[in-house]
Amino acid sequence: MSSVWTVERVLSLAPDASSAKAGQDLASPRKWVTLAQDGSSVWGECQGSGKNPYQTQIDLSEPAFKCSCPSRKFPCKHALALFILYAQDSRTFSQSPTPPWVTDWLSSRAKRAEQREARSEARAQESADPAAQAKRVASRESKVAAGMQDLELWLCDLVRQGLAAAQSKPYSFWEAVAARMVDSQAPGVARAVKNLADAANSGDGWQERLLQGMSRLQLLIEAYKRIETLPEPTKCDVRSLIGWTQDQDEMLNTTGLIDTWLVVGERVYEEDRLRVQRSWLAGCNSRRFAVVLNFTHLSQPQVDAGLVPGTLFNGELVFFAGACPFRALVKSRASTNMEQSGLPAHLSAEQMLQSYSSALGLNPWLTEFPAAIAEVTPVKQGDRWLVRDSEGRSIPVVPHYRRGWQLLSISGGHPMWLFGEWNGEWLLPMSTLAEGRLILVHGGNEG
Amino acid sequence: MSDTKYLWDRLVTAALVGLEREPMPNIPSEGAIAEVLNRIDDETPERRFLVTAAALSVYRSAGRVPSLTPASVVEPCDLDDLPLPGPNSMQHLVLMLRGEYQDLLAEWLMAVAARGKRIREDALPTLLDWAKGKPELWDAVRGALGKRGQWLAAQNPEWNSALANRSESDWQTGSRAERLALLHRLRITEPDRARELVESTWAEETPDDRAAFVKSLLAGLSMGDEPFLESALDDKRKEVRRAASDLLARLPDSRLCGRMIDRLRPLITFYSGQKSRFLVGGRKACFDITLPTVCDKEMDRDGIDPKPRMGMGEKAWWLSQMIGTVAPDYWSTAWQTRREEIVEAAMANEWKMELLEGFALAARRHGDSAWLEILIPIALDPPKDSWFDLTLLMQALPADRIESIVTPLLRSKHAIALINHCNHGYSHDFSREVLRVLARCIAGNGTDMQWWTFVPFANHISISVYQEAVSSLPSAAKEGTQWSGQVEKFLNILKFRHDMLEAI
Repeated sequence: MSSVWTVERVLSLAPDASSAKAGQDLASPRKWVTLAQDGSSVWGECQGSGKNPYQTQIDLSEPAFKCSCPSRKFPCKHALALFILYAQDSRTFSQSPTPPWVTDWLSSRAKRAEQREARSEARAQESADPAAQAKRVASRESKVAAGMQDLELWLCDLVRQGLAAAQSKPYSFWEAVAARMVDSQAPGVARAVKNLADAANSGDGWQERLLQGMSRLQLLIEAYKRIETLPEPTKCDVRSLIGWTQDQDEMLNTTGLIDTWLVVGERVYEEDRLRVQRSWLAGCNSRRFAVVLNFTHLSQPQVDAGLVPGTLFNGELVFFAGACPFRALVKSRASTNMEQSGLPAHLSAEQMLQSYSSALGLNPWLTEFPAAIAEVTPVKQGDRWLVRDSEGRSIPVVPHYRRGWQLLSISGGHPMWLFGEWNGEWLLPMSTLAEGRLILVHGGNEG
Repeated sequence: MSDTKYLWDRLVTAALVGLEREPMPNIPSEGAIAEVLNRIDDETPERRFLVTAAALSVYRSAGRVPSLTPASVVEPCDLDDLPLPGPNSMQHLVLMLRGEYQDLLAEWLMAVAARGKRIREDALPTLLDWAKGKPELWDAVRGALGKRGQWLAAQNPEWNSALANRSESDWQTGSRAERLALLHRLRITEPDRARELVESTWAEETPDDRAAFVKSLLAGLSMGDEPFLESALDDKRKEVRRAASDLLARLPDSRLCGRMIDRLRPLITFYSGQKSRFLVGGRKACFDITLPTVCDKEMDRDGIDPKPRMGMGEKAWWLSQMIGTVAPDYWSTAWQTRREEIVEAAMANEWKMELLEGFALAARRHGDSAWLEILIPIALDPPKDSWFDLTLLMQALPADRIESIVTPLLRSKHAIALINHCNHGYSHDFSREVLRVLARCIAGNGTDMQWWTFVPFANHISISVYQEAVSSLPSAAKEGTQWSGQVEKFLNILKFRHDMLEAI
């Protein structure tokens, strides 16, 4: 395990630079009263300013952290320091029987997981009351239908009066419609309406982006009108776009895809008072891509650290139903000592765009397509960056991409594997490989 | 494709203006997409418009082809490059580039270069951005770039102007910073060539450039520069004249120094001390001083500032500056006496402040460590009202003499003030001396040292004494006081340096 964790990767978990520094400063065996491990967890006692040492522990399987210090940072400097020490040299940790304060924590974590399971079972039984459930479903359907009707009228008005008029409206103009969609229990549509506001203010080419967004919303309305005639996977796409959620507990009871997964990139952004962490995974054998979303409330400091870019795990993923599914849940995972090998990739930009168009044929609302290309070189053209494949064809990188020089430096002008998100217009590069090591070329919190 | 592009543009225009003013464009009857679009037969024109736009925009997204692009004109970088530092090195660099322990970056870079390694490629852009406004780092950065870094820097004008090795052709075309970088490099290898470049365009330069170029001749200064500097004493701009006279005052054989000696000789008489068999204690050495009466144009040309500094009479000020121009050892030779005796006589004189400041300036200009060694203890406890600056004296000490001069003084109460001015990398032995001083002062709890002063010493101390520091300092500090916090900080820096050098 310690071979998987490098100090660099551990420090990438630090919530900010001062925590990274504090963690580094504390990563000295002389500051620790005990350092021990039992193979699946590590723990230590760190002498702080108080009388009793702080008790710090890490469950390596996720990893998960706990510390008795009062810090609100997560992970705190003690947890980081403990992890750094472990990553540097696990031999400084004695093999010992697990003390009670560690077993207590581990068992309370296990208990919480059980409780979650029990709750979901209870819910399953609750929803087993067919009459009540049917009533709930019917009520929501009619609310959504009414909301979609309003939305259609509004879109038609916009087109009749012209986008130029709409662009000059304040944000509240869009927000009011989004709020109406939330009331109609169509939160997905509400987000799409807010995206229209962003498109209207996206600078050069906004007209096209706004019309594109509006027309795809209309397409969704049309699809919803005739949802009963659609094939099952497309039905699922339409319903999740509108905002129905799929029952995750139920999903976890189905069989997923077992593979060795490499976390190839992440984006962290805020949406509806939630912090969303989108992690892209690449299956080394199945050659499939999956995106896992984690939501945390903004008032909570922690972002789930379980999917650290560059880490590899053996695990089972269950995909959300859809015509061209990417979103998935992690059903189970186990750490692995394997080296990554055989990452999926398209051989050319053209091939990547062909798969994109097949995917679009299945799901015309697709916005982020996982684009991995085997051999590209970054090229600077004026203020913009492009990536050029071995056939001399190129696709553009998002404007204002901040890491173009880094990409160029890593490549040295030579072809390299590159993974990014393709949105139909631009590529957002996320990671690349150098000497077998995954290097992120997009900071998680860079949007 | 161009048909759909045309149609899409028409749709966008119509949407922008609004369908109530601009009708829905006609759908062509031919082509693959036309068939789909013509099947859209909604009775509401707006709805028909939106669905048409949806179909067309999906069609266009799906049909996008990558554009043919010429390869970069820059040749790919040679992959046979210097080895990389160890895997744990990156964390240290990243932390420093985020602003933590940033004072140690130069040391890290030089250590990387000294071990024949290079900066990892993904860190290069951040580092180069960081260093571009910090010329003091450029040499260190350049040494650790490797082929990849040089290749990369050459492609970004912002980095290139800071880091590229300048060629002489830049002298004609470069910015001031680039030309100074060229001079800086040439003065080390071919000092005469550098001066010739300055002379070749001298008449066309702006006054600010002229002053900067003269100042840059300090590196590699020799009598070869004397004729040029002498002519610069007639420059129109005062900054240029002063820069030239300052450099000439550092050349003992310059005409300027000769003129200054001729002016001073009639003003200063020195009587050596004599041991007398008859008088108790004999006669002490002493000075007989006559102050200059005027500061004429010629003196001004030679760098004597007519306007006195605060707290000094103008005539005394002229004298002090004149003494500051002559190599101090000139006097010990001329008077055939020891330096200590001269200083002692100066201390006893009515004009001691002027004499000592003059000798100090001269010792600094000539980097005369024997004189500095005598003057530094005086600067630790300077005569009242004198502007006797320990900092400047310490800065003038040649690096290889600092430790031998400072070590004997470390037993005094001025130890901390002295160490404060030692900014070189300490030797192992000197580091141990410093640790001993620190342990003493920390235990003294503020008698000889303020609690906030000593942490920066950790940037210079040898990491070979890390273990000794760990065992001696924390026990000297009283638990729970500011001292123990500062000791912790001190040890953290030392540990970081230890780890960072180890990890390379």
